Amino acid sequence: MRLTVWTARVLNPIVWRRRRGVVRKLHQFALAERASMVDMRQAARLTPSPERAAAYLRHADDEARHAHMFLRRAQEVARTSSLPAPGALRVDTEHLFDTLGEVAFLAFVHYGEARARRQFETYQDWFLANGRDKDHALFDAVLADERRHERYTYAFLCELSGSEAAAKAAVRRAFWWEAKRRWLRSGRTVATAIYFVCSWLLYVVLLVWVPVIRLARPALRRWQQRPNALT
Amino acid sequence: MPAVLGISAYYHDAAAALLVDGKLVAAIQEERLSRIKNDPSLPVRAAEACLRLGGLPATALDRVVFYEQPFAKLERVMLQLVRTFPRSWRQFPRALASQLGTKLWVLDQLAEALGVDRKKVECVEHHRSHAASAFYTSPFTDAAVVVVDGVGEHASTSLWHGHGRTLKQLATIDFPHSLGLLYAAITAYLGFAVNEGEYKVMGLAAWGSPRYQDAFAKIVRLHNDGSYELDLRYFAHMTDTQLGFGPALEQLLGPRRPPGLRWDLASDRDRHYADVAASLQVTLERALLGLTRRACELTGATSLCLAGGVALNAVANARLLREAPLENMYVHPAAGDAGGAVGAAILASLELGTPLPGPLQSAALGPAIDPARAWDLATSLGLHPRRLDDPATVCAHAIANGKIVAHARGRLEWGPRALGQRSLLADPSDRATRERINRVIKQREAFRPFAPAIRERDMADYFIGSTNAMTPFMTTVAPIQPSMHEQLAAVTHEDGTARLQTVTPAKAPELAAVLDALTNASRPPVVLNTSLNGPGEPIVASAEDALGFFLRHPVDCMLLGDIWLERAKAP
Repeated sequence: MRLTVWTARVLNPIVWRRRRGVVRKLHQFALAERASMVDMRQAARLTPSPERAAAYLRHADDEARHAHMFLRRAQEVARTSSLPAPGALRVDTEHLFDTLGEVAFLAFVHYGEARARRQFETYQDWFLANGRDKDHALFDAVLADERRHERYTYAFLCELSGSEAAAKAAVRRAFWWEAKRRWLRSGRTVATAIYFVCSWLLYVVLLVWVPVIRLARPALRRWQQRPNALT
Repeated sequence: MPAVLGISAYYHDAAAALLVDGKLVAAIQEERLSRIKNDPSLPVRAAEACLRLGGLPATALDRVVFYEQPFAKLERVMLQLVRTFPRSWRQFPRALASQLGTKLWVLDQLAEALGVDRKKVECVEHHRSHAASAFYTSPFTDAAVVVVDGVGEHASTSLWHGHGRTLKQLATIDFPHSLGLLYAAITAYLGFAVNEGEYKVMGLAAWGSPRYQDAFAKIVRLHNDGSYELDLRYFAHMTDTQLGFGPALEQLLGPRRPPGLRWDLASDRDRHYADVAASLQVTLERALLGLTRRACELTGATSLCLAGGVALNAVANARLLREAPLENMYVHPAAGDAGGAVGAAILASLELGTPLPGPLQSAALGPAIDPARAWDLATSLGLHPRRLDDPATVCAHAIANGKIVAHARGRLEWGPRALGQRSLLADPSDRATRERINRVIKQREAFRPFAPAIRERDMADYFIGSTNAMTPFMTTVAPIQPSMHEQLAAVTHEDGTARLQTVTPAKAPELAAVLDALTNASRPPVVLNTSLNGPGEPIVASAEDALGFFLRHPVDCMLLGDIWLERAKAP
């Protein structure tokens, strides 16, 4: 059993039990799908092939629909549980097509789709076993698309990289690239925590300047005349 | 031929603008290319696109100019953090990281990203960039210039006198007193996203009654000399950039509206929030009137140029022109931070001795659709594209038949308004069409109005008032003739006005052709014009963006250059 599947199976009862957790998780999925939509649209713009651009646009359309479905379900759960509504979908993206090039981008997307599909399948099993029909239906609809994305990206990858062996090698590289990225992210999390502690220490040191600044540079009110500057 | 690239970045709405020999040849917001709404990142894509449009390599640039002074900004941020000690403890690490980690080094980053000599990269003051973007692209040679935004380096409001090539600063009001941040705080209080929901607040105001003016008189004090002062007890923007208001505001106006709730203006709860928005609108208008009167007194000018994010309040702009001692008024189409890129570029260009840029003729300053790519892509998507000999007539015919047309022709618009190059067009008389666009396509609040675009020469037949320097860029409103309310039912706002765009072939040739074709078909020369974008997305830029929109949203037809797409009817 793969680590993704094992982790998802272990965590399912914890993640999906509490309503607040459900809202948060569904909202995270909506954000991820939305970010993926932006990446796929950028890919459509940048690839030289109209056929691949068309496939990327269809993919982006699916991701936009998934984001909408996840958000709607998150809002519904929040509403029925009297929880705060999840916020709007503000996306960030790493511009992966720009960074990686088309082959590595396709390998990464294929790898990500396969991982998501495996993870979603464990969710489906759990929802089925626990009588969560609405959530089961939601993931069922999404999974059909994830499987299609997994297939078409692999077909393009084989075509672009020249052979199936080269495509598999590209997917392996995507795995290691992603692992390295996760490692760096965890390093960043630790560094951020250390930075916050250090900067708060610095903040305390600022205390000595507070009376000086308040006296010498108070906040100004009403009109201020500036030296006349001409261009 | 001196070439200057202006850049704005790292707050919201990053952009690049290129001037060659004093002429504005390209201006693009980064969000249109990165597809991230209000993208604040260094606008490298936008800069490269500007250079492509200008036919120049980066090495040919004489100057690259950033629209604010990073060290002056750092000074203000640090002073503010120390002044508000210890309430700023939460903000301190983030502000420090943002300033020292990124913003301070922006000039070096620009030199590296664009591959230009560091000595060619410089910066100008934030409000000076805004003032320059408004004055030097206006039709005036002598004008009072008022800049009102959240905050620049220190100033949040500034008054200027523009005359010929000179732009002289007269007075400022400094942070933390800021009309932009007042508006942002109330935007957050009403449950909208700051820097995105301000238009919603303006639209909502028409549905309310300004019965909280006394409360707002406590929040912001307006003085006889035109200045104003926030009562900082109600605000938190000095220590919390996310929310912007404090518990005292909720004590005064009642609890904030939770974000994400569906609006129901028939309910008491939401009528209360509409009244808050209306009271804010009236207060803002009074504050802007005070500033304008002061600027006119100091300069003796009868023309006004307004810039900064607050200048995008079209309702306030109309009142200023009506009530202030003004003959004419101009607002740059990208009055927010994006416009700072144009202003910065103009200032550097003038220093290099170029001629003045002259009045802005058109906001179509971005890249055009690539027709060959659009055709290939539409064919690959199985959308059965058709090339048209007379696209305007076919488009007009579809609109006349009640269809919603996605209209992507010509060069991309500069600024937040769709001015016909990337627009959704529809029949302005049909309320059902408005509902359909609001609910199904844009998925936005039902209280938000749509704008009309009309041939300039026909304006007086449909609206009260005449064209002015703002109407081509949709930065003002005008009352609709009472006899025309039915004909323009889909674009008449609750208060009987509309944020109109007057169209001429020189400023928006493709849209003008559609309006002419409508007239030839014995229809009114008016269309409903709203931006071509999905919810939470930037306006469409390329063929790929347009076709992605067509796949996702149930518009009836799309005109992509001269390529026509029609949605197949369900069997």
